[in-house]
Amino acid sequence: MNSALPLSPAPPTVFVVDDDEQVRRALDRLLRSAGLAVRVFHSAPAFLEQAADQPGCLILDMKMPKVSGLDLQAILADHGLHMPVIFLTGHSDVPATVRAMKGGAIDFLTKRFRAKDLLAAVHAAL
Amino acid sequence: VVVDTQGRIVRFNQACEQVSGYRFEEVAGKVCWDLFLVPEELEMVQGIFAKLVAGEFPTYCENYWRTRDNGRRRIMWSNTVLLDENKRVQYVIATGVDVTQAHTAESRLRVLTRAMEAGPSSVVITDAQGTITYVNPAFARLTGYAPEEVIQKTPRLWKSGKHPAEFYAALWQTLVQGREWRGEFCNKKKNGELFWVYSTISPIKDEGGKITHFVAVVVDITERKHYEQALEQSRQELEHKVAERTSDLETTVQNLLQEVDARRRVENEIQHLLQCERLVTEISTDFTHLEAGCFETRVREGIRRLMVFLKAERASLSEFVGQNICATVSCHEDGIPPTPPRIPGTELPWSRAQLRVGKRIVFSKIDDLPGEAAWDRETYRKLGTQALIALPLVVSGKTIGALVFVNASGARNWPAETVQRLRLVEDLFAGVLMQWRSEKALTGAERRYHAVADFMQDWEYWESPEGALLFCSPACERITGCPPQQFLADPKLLHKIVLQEDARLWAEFHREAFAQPQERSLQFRIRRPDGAIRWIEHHSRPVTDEKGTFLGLRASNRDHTDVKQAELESQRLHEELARVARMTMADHLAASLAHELRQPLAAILSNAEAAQQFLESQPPEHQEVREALQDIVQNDDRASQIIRRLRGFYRRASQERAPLDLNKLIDETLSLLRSELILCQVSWQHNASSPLPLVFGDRVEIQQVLMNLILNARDAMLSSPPDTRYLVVGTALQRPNHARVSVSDSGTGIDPATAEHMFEPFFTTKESGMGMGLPICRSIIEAHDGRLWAANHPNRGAIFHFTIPVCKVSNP
Repeated sequence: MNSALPLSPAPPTVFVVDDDEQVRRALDRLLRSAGLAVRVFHSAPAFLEQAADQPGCLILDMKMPKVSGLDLQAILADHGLHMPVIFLTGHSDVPATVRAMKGGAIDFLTKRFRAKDLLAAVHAAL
Repeated sequence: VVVDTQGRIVRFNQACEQVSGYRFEEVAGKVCWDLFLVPEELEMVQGIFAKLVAGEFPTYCENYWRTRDNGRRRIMWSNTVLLDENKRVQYVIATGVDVTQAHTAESRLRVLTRAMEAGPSSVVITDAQGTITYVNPAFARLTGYAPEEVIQKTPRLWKSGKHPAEFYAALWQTLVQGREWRGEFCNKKKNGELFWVYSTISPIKDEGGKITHFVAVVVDITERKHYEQALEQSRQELEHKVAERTSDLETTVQNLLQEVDARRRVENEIQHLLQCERLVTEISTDFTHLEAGCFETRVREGIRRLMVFLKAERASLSEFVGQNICATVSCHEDGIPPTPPRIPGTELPWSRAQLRVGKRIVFSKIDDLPGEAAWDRETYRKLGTQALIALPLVVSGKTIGALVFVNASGARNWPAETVQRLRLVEDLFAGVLMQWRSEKALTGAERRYHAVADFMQDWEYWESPEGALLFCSPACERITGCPPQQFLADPKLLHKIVLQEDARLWAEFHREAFAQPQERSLQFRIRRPDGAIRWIEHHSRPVTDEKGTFLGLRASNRDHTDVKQAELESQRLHEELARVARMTMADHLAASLAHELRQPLAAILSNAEAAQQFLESQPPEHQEVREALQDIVQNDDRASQIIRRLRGFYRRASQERAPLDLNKLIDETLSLLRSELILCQVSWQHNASSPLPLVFGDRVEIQQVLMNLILNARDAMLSSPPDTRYLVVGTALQRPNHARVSVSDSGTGIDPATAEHMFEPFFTTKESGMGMGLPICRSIIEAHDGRLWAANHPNRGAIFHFTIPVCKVSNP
């Protein structure tokens, strides 16, 4: 998508942060198939560097090496960046889920989710 | 002065008063000669006076007057008389002139002249121009020149030519300045002969200070010169002789010292050799009557004495046992680390080879070892061996051990002569070692004999080649529950009570034992009449007569049930524990892999749904669909791989060992555990040593060990802050033929109290742990001829290492 027009506001983008390349590619494809603007990042630092202050919502893998999804959520909160977050997780890890929701997560999806659930969460976030 | 005819003073003028010191009034009327004359001249003066009185006048005379102050004045008198009218002498008138002064100079001159004429010294007088005016007779005698031959000539006449021009110039310079010159001359006589004089030349001056003459007083010193020369020559000769003699003496002393030195050296050597021989003799005496049990003490004492003699710091009698060099007996000085009891021969390949062919090893410092001994050099360095003598102990051409003397505190030389002498010691110790070995073997035999006696407590029987029992010991009843009579009656009874499961084994064994008689043993089970099952340890041995005829088998049977049961129980327990540990690990793995599987499955579902969406869009986006389908295939592959890995772990593989690439195995294991590690926020790193030779091992078992260590490391870090959780798995080649794997964590490290027990079964620090992980890991690694151990990391955390032998054939 081209946002070259200077006066038009940047369209809301779905940011995906996941360390698994295949999962990234699948999410990118799924969201684009639903007509959404998507940007994918392989790690939390990459996202923070490039897109943290832009409008949109964030689909965040909870479990990543070095900086986890929960960490990233906390960092964003620390910087006053209130981007809506949808968490993806492999485990039904109750304590982590509680933390995520307390941290203001919009939704929480266990990996191997259906497209309609994800898209519903995204639309809610946007 | 005027006196009367009686000599009495009548007149005394002023001049008289001055000369005599008397006043006229004092001498008037006194007799003249009483007052003034000196006794020796009294007679001469009275004679002249008598002539005067008799009318003979005038007269002249010269005599002394004594003065009032008792001095003497020489007076020259001119006397006349005063006659009275009758022409008779009335008074004598004496007119005197004081000539004292003139009289003294003249007489001195006369004396001097006389002295000059008569003296032994030669005198030469020249005028101011050097023309000779006078020579004395002594001079004529000395030179051979008559005075008339030299008068009016110059002293050049007798010049010898021995003195340089400067000599004369200096002489003249001195004289012309009015100073006296003294010195020695060499002159020439009239006959040409040379002579030496000592000359004093003085300038003579007139009243005006002008030099008028020179007087030379010359003393002949030719003789003195001769003496001097002779003396000088004698002195020189003496000195020469002294020098010669001194040098002779020095040479002699030097030779003597050398001789003494050489003798002392020889004496020292002899003494050293004597000491050596005495020592060897004493040790040899000590070794003569060695009784069983005192070998070690005596050998140690012998080695210790040799060590002290050689001034070594460590010594051992080492034996070649299999691949190892074992220090059978050793001793060491205080403060020196002892000889290690066992050194693998592979650590000293060169030294071992040298000793094997009967060569000694002697080095003063490690660097003296030859290039091909590089490995040994490192080993010696590690052992702290700085200098060494190793003597091979050879028996019948075979090296059975070595006598080793070591200096550990520094390099040192070993005296070659002494080392040479140690040949005696080699034979001595080789002999003793052989004796000791046979003594040990004897002890073994004795032990066996006792064991045989114990056997008698066991059940013994003798079975003939025909299958009859020739003998059956009573112990059979205790073991089998059947009395001996029963066995003797029914030789097949044993076959009957053997447990069904072991019957075939036993039958085959029994057949073989008779077909090929030799010592055999077998373990089998029997069922007693009371139903109890017993394990029998059966030994059979052929019995032959002296001609070698086979007489049957002698069998010993021991009830082995308790031992066997314990062994089986232990084995069962071990297997059970291993299985439990494996299951625990598999549970971990299943959880981890379930998550792993979710990733591709999620990707597949998302891709499939995305593909559906793209197909439904107008127009359908076929490219996107194609790509989604490709990704679905890839993710499916990935899921299959994960499942394969899990199955591979569960599968109890054939347990066969095969060459393994440890680094690859580690990578696989880390990827299996990836989720576990990420979940616990542990970062990891694999430091692969490259290239690492293949190791020989059971893939599943080694992977189990790796997993266990990695999961332990993970657990150890759970209490640390997430950003400090760091796991490193490293590999390295460990000399000489092992690969080493190290798993380190950044946790709190191993508590020393824990360290002691952590390899013991059922020990655990975890709430839900079984305490089986590490003991099983260790038993697996040890079964692989490796080692597993743990240590605390210097900075933080713990580090676990294990080693596995690398494959002998390198990776093609």
